[in-house]
Amino acid sequence: MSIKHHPDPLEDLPPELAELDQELSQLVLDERPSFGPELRNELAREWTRPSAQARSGVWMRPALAASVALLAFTGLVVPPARASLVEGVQRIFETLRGEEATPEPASPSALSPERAAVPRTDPGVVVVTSGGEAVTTEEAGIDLPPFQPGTSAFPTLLDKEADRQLVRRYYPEELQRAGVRGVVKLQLWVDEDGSVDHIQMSQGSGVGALDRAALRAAPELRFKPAMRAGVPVGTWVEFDLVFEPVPSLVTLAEPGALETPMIPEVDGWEPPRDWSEAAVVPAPILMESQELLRVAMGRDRRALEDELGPLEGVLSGDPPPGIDPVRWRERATRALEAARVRDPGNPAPYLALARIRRKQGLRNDAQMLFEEGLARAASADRPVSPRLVAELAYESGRVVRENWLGWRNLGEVPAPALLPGRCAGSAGSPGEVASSETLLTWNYYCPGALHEVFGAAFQPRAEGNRLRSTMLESFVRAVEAYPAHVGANTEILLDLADREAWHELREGARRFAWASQGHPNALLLEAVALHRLGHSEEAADVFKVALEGLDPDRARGFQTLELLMDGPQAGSPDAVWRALDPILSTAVNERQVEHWARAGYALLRFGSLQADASRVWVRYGRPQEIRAFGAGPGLRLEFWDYGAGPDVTFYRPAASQNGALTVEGEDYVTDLEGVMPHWYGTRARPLFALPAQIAQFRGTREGTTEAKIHFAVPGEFRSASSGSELEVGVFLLSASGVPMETLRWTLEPRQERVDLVVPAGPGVHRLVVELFDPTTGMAAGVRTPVSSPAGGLSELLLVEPAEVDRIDVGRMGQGLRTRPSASRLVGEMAGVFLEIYEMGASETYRLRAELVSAENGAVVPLEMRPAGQSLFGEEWTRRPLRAGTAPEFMTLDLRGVGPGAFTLRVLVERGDGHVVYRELAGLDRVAPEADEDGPAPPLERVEF
Amino acid sequence: MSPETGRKATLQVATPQRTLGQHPPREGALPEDFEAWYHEHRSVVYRFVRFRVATREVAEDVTSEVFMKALRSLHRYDAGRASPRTWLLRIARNAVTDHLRSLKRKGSLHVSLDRVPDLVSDVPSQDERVLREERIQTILNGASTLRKPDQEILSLRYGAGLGNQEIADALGISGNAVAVRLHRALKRLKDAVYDSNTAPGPTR
Repeated sequence: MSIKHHPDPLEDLPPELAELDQELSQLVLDERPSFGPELRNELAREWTRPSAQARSGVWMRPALAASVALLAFTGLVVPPARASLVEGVQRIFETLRGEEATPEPASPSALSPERAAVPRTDPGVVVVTSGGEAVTTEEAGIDLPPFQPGTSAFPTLLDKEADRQLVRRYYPEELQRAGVRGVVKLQLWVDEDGSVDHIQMSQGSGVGALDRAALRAAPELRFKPAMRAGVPVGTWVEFDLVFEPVPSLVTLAEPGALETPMIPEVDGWEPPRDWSEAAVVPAPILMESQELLRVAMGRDRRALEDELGPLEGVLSGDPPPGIDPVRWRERATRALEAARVRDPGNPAPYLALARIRRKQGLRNDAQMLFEEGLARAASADRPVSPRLVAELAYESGRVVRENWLGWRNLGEVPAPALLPGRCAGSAGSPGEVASSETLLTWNYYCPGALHEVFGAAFQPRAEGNRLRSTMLESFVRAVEAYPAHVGANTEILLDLADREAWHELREGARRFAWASQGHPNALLLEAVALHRLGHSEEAADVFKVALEGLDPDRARGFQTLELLMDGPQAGSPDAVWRALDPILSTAVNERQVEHWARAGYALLRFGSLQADASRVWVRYGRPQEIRAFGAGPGLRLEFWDYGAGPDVTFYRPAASQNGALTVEGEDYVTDLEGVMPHWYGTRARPLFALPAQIAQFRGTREGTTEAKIHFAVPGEFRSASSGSELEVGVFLLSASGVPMETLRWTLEPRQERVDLVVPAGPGVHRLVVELFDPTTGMAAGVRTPVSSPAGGLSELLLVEPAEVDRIDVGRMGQGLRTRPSASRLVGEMAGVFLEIYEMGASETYRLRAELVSAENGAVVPLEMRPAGQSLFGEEWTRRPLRAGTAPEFMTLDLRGVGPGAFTLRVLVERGDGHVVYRELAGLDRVAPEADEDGPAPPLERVEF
Repeated sequence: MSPETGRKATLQVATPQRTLGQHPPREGALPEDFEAWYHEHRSVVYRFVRFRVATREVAEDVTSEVFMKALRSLHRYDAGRASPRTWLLRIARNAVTDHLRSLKRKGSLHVSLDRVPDLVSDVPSQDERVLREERIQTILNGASTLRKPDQEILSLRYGAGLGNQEIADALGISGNAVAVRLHRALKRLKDAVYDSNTAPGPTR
């Protein structure tokens, strides 16, 4: 061998180090010859995929750039935001993404970088600059995952001129005359229909009257809604309202004269067949409130109706389209105030007035009015229906809820808990709390360190607890008054779901379903509870009924795969779900029911399946923990913890349930979705790994295989079922995951071991073995790909050592007793069986066996003896008894093998000099002195 | 653990060395610069990675990831800031760090089910193959016990085969510092390799 020197010799090395340097310089770490071309082709394929080139556009992400700028200073290596959430489970969706998989969306719109073109104005995002300059990822020279463009856009104003006029209308006249001007910074939640729902003031103008005017004007703003993937979605935008003095004259009409009120009659009412139209405020409440309001408005009601539009609008606080909102609001307020005076016992004006106040963001006023309305209803000199009482209580609860949401999951981390040097960003001084920006940076760049910090130093704030009970009390009042109240019932039940009180949830949902004659919200929540309690079959039936009652648009995400996969799908959703059924022995597809359960909760909790939170919830289920932090006025930063890896982060308005992903979160989730579109999780019916030994041999007919399957019935099954019968199922699946053949056995009550031989014909792609307890619903399974043994060797079967005089070593021979545990190497000896195929009659071959340490890759040769031999040796030269298949049954000497994890490898050097080998991985060598089976390790839960 | 990967018996065939001409024709075009870099620097990247990770398969996976990442962020490459090789090695350093971190998170070092020995060529006899393989394994095992900066500098020199100035560029330190660090790392590696003879593990 030629001596190779390093091209750049090290000087002044002491002799012993020079020798090592020399040796290291000669180290040959060559690639596999075919690796280079293989990878090159893979890269070319990646490059020619349409989306890859689209990604090469230039993306500016201020927030990431900011974080990177921080990191660049501390010299940290930036890991891509890939999830360890997906560790070990990358294969879960291979049936979705494999041969039949979804093509990448390649429509022209999907490639246009609209998202980069629209400047994003996320609140709370601060562009950190270094020396006055923004530092981009490129400049920082740090490799970040690519950003996926999408057909997304942020809200834009529909009609700027109309909005300017709107601002002028709300601008108080006296301030205009005095020339007082100002800018009010608002954060608005813009719904998917473009209307403004929640309003938070992030910075006032310094003039109280202007601030109030802004809060009153903001709900009237109309936007073109934000778009995600072509679908309108709600989002959170920052908006400045600028008040510049313009003279204007506003005159208001006087209210009409009084009239003696009439008590309305609300007739009996039938629930609708289709609930989709009567979502939250059922028709009877509306009818009754309108009647009461009409009476309270007295003689002028017709004139008022002509002027203010239908009373329905007055009750909801919304002006009819095309009506001047200022005049309308002023008139409505005056009319309602007059009605309050005229008919003091009538709660309807309070309801309408309070709603207008709530829409203006004046929560305290609103709640006072709702409570006042309740008091009027209680002391009324006339019958007020319980439905209206319920509505007032519900509305009062909703106002408390908005306050409570600001405290929900809220906490803080003291700044000193973030030790400098462990990650980027300055933590802050003692006594301060860590800033939300720092936490966000840590989360995506040092998730492990942040988890430790959260575990040790997160301090939850308890202030919200009182608000939560007040809120629930209001909702309970509502349900007590009127058991079918949809909004109040749904809120109470969602709270039970959040606390995972599944029995209570099931009972509550049943009561609600009974009272409301089958409202879909009730059925959805009942089904969620049933599924969580392990009754997935029953849950599936209830879901189906619930979906029939839902608005088809709202129900769509349940039945299609659009929430899980982008672009057009190959095959029907049913086929996709069938291939993902985790437990084949059951009549129901637990994975699909899990999907429904998540979608059902997300729809009710987040209002729409298109919301960011729903998107994450439906794919990955409930987070282990949600932690919220203050992130500026009226804003929360939420961390959804899914275990190891970064948390998914959202910004949400403090008064809203519904947040939007942060820029980093959006990026991370996009990244995650590419790797793991769906996670079955740990809250569904559990599946355990069956510790079975499966070895595949060549079948008797060409192209077939024969699998030998052995396992001991795990103790968990024997004790849980208390003598009932267990079922064993073997499922032979096609490439698309459809069972081609199903074999079932029933075990005797005390049977401890299962030994099966299963032939598999051509076309069988995968073999699934399951043990199922129909009494408890407990299942354990193992899946393995089926392949005709190639390369002339069968798989390895771990067996008891061969007796010395045993010579019938065939696959079906009596001497072959499989080990009860195929994952543990116990005792001083172990047997291994394999078959060598296509053996010439006079061909000799050499046999060796070795153990490879899983910890450090160290190789230990094993001494062994073939069946019928009494001496051990490290290498055996053998000749087959006859041409064709040569069975080998060898006893391995394990004495001296210490504890550890190993791979057993048997090498065969064929007559032509080729070395082929088979491995059996994941063997656990327990203490060498343990001769026989100790207690079996507990069953592992399968996660995918 | 997924049942899919749980108990998998595997087969590997150590075939005689194949020549490149036997491989399927190239399927598509790569950007021109990238194509050149790939051919010029792939082995360097691979060897750098191989020096740090437990098996050849992992080295292949990580190397693939490095080039995939490089391809996707090709537009970010700035010739004024780093040579292609330094840039690729920087991506490789991150990728190796990620890989090792992921092992740590799993709390396990079960790295691969299919382990192929490192040498298939350049070996006169079977016995020598085994000896060489063992020696490489010993050195790599020893190296894997060192601190990360030591591993990094050793793999840049002996894996990637860089000269001192290139190492200095890659790590952003001075040439002098490289020499000093290499001395120390070699010394520690030597101790580690000697210690490995007494390290716990299966021995006979």
